[in-house]
Amino acid sequence: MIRFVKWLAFCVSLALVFWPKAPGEACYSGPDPGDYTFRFFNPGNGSDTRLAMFYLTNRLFNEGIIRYPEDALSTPYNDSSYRKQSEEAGKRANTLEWVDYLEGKISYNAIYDWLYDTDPELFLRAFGEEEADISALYTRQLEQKSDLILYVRKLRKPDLLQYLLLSKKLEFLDANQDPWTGQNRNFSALRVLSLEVSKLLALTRDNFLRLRLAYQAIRINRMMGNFPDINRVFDRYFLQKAPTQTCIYWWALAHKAFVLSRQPKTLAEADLEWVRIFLHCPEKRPLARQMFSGTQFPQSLKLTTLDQDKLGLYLLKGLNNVGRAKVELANAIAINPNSPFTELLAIRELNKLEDWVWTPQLSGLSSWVVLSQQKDDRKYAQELRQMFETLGRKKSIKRRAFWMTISAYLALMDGKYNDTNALLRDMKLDGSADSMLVLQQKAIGIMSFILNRGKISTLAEDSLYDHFRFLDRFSKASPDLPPLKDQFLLLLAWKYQKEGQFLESALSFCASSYFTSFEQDHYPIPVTPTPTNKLFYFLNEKGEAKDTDSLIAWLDQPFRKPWELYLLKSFNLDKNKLLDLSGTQRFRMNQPELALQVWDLVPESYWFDKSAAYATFMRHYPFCCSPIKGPFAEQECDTAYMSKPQIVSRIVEMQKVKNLDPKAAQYWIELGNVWYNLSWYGNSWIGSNFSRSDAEVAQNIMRIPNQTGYYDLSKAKQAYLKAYMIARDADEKAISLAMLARCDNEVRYHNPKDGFNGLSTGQEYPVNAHFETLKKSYRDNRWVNTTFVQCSSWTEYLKYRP
Amino acid sequence: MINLPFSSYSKRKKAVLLLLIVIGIVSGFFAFSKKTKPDYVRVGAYYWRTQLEAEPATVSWMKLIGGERVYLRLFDVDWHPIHTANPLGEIRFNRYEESDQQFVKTWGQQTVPVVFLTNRLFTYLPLTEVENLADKVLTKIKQTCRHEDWGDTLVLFPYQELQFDCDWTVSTRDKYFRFLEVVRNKSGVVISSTLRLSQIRDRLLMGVPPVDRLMLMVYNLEPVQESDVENSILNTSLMASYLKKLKPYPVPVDLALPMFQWGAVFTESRFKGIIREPKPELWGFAIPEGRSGWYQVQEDTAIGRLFIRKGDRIRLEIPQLNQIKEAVRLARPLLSKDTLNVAFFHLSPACLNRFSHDKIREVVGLLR
Repeated sequence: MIRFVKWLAFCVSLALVFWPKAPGEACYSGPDPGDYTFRFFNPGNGSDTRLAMFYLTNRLFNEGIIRYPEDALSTPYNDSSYRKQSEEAGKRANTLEWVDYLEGKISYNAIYDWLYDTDPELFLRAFGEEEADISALYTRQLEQKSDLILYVRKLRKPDLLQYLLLSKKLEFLDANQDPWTGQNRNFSALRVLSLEVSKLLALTRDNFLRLRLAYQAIRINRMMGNFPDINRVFDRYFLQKAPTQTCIYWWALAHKAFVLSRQPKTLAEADLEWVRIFLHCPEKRPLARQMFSGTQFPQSLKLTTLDQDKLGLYLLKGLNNVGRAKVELANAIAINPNSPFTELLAIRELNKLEDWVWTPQLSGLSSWVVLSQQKDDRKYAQELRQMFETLGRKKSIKRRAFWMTISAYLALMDGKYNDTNALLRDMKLDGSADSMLVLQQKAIGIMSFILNRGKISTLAEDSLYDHFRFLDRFSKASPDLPPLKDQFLLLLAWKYQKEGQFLESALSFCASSYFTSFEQDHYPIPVTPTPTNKLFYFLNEKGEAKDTDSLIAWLDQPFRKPWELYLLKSFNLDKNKLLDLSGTQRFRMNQPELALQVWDLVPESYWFDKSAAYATFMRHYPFCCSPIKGPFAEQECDTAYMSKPQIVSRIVEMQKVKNLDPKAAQYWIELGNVWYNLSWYGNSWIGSNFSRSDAEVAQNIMRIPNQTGYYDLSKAKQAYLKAYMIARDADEKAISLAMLARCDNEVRYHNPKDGFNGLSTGQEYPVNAHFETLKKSYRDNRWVNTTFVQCSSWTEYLKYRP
Repeated sequence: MINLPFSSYSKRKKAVLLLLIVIGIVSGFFAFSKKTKPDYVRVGAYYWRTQLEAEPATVSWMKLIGGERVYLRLFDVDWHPIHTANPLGEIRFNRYEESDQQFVKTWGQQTVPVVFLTNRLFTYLPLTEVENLADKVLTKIKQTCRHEDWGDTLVLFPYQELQFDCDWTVSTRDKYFRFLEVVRNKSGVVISSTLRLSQIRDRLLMGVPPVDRLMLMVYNLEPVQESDVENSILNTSLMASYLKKLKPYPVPVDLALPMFQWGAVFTESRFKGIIREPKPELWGFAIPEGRSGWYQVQEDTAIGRLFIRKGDRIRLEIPQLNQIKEAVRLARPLLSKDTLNVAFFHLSPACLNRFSHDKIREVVGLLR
């Protein structure tokens, strides 16, 4: 018989090993839980679950199934802020139990302060085994800190005082190293404390204190690594003795589950305990989810006959599954479709699909990218939609509206806008939706409206206006809920951008308060992120002069439609500033004459107005540059105040000079200087970027548009070369060569092959040719020695580079 | 007539008597010619500071008194309500500090590490944890007496003796003695312990520590906190009463003598604190009272962390040379007769200023 059983076990284990796994699980290599980079309604870091889940999670919040956004997003427990939140919830739950125990005679805050904010060392010195006079001193300090201390002293419950002392000792030992060895645990002190706990446990008859003492005994054993004792203490004091509605029971069980998790043979049992903890102890849910392994899932299922446990097992397996969890979801639905935990699992699955389907489409401002994986994901969305829709149409289901709403959302993700609308219509007839679900349906309807069309026409804009007015009203009426309008502005911006409506896209993006977080990975804004600042930045970085001109024309219109007014109302646009930008964009495109024409429309006073940031060179004369000191060389030139039009006019004038003109060489040297100063090496923004300071440019160099001459100094070098060619004076030739050598020297920092980090091969710049010429031909010139210093380091650099 | 062997019996009796007399005379000779001076007197001093420093004046003083040993306090162990035994005030050697190097170079070979254990520690520490404490203390001594830096191990103090200082009482005796036993068994070096006069007087009650040697501290006989005490550091008349009719101690006893001084500050009769290494010649804030050793504070002042108010009184306690000599005479019968260690407390510039090497040599001369 025994041999037969062994044989049977062998066959079963073989079958388990080779049992085919679900295809989604087997091949999926997606992000870990919590690592999703994008959620449509929560661009940025996913800090608000209600955004990520729309309003579908409302019931879960209300019923305490999830407490924090991270609960639903499957954020790892080791995330510090999340962990802190969970621990805080535990502290609150424990404090409430203490309030009950003390029959409300002590306030919640006083107990919380006592348990969690009183320094253990101070506490112990006040009540501990110190000499009387010292103790009195500390007691006075504590009494000043909390009225509660007075109460404890009057209470005349020695076991309570002893317990408090003991728990404070453990708190101290948990936070401090062994002073002898520097190791994390002071085992000697823990042993002594363990003896104290045992004595007190034997003495006290107070069940509340007994359970807490037993819990402290479990903690001590955990800290000392005495794992078998943890289970022993749990079984003796908690198992079928402690009321399961108390947090202390579940905390103790978590320690037991941890011990069980350490042994492969008890892993199935451990998983079941983690499930129970997850279902009953909200503050331990993140830990339970993280500790649940699921590796012995069938065995865990066999260990329980309770539907709730089974549902929990499927729930945790599904939540922890970074791939598709359709099987778990189907099983959870089969067990109890009305359970909030089933809804949680469905939302988790929806969240995964948001990431898989929406993220590639909507992240950044990139064009529509259809990945091969995405087809599969959309197919999966269809499968789930079918499952949910079937459920939503069953009369026996209590929350039909929930299932129908997520079906509509899945249809939307799949691009089936008509289906979405049909489902939304059906739901209106059903009437089982609560107010949050109705709002959710409205949101899906607006999304469908935006996405279900090509270019947004003038006709559609009227409807858009109505929709956004609704969203505004909703936001005003529900200030505690997330600003839905801002999210829809993002979607709208994406849609406009996709349809080539750049200006509308820019306005929508910049009007949304989510713009900053949405774009921060790629384009951090170096100015105060008001909508206006963002818009200027956006136009400057991504737009062209024609876009700025369109905006100016739009503003000049005598009559504007409601939707245009709605879009523009967030901005405080100054026409002169826009003209400044338009001219700057033209100047950057090598159209200086056109730039001057645009700037002619700007009154002279604007350029010297302090509010027009960076419109004027305030300190430096831009036509001056020194081979020794480099850009501006302010000490060698007079302080100058030049506006953009003045600089550009002068550039235009000097470019017109004939080669035979006696001043031609000097002009071209100055032109070289101005281009040098306007380059990255000159740290100038005037011709290339808008609203930046030197420091901001230096910090964000990778983001500056890579335009001709900006990094490679080609424009400056071209001008210096021309000056060298036409110069008659030896000194002019020498300075031209010196500046050319300096340019060569500078650009060693910017070799595209090196990616700013140095040259990759030894063949790029064998010698600094201009400097060699300078040395040979103008040996006695004053620039040779000074430039030599610069180029010597350059030579050294070439010699020793990797 | 029976010839009783009376005469032969009487002769034997006489012979036995004679023998007894001879034995008595011989033993009496040996008894009365008992050694009164030790074979060898080894002079040393305690180093009770937290920074290692061998000032030239101190080194010279040690040489002049023929000092061979430095009893170096490594660390204290006190009771902590949570950590239980807690090491404090550990001496740390910094190999990049010139004074530390100088100390080790000068006295490293002749250092006896000393660990001070508070009585409070043994009051609260469970007996079951004493062995563990001994292990920790030995490990820490080893760690402190060598220096490890970037893989190099430098032996700073290659000790052959360890000394433990504890003012144990009847209630803590068993734990402290257990501690000494464990340390003695595990260390493999000579273990010595300090001994107070009260502990030697109440020997039956206090027991004899299980160590190789004892260091009798003849100072701090009375509580410094009491205002009616004349001199808490050294009181020879009290000492004489402690040492009256004492039997020889079963463990070799060495002698520790005070060189330190302090000022005890009182507000009315309430003890306020101690001024360590006082310099009364610089006290512009206080004037001497008629009664010997007392000063009256005339204006508020602060010395170290001690805030002294006008009206407070300071009892300046300075052991005098003649008192120290008297203490030596009183203690001499109890001291080891083979090799005697004499240690002065303690090596600090202020103490050395008061006790020149000549004075110390005079004191040591009494023992030789």
